Amino acid sequence: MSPLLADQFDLLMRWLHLAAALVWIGHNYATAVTRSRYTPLQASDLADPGSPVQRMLLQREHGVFRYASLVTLGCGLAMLLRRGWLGGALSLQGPLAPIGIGTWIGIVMVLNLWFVLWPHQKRVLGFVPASIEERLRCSRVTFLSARVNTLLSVPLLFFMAASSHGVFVRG
Amino acid sequence: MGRLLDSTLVTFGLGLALTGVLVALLRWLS
Repeated sequence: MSPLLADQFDLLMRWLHLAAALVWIGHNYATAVTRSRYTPLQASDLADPGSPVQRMLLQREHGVFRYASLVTLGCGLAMLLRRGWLGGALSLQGPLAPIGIGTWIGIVMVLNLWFVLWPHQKRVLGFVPASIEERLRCSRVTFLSARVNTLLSVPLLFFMAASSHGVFVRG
Repeated sequence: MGRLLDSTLVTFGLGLALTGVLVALLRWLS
């Protein structure tokens, strides 16, 4: 790859990384702000598929943020790979340690989204058959799973920003 | 932990605390 093309590729990856991260974490923060405290779903809300609460839940389920998470992680890994930094970052080597921590947190967040939040959300929404009690339990898990990602986004953003200023963080 | 996360403000506070712990850990290890 010519240096100019490599630069253009890197710019595209960086832009997509930020844009997709905004879509993903924007969804997460929007929910965190609009629903600042956990409000339990009621059995009556889930019993009727046409209930206002259920319609509201279904409207919010469009999957864009889930795929944005994959674009975010993919572009981040591609940037590290192109620089030959991926191994060093993941093994927290020297000046690559800050971005490495950010990468690991990002991987945990994507796994949390796809393998904890989404399977439970599918039960809440009725995409996967489950009893009302099970769906109510799952709604609590989806809330906590989303909040864990809100929490993890704080150090991730810090270490992503610190990756250009690793000397400060590493002392 | 689950109860703590019920509040958005506490969630962000915990995020900041975790950031501090990780920075301290990184500086200590390097």
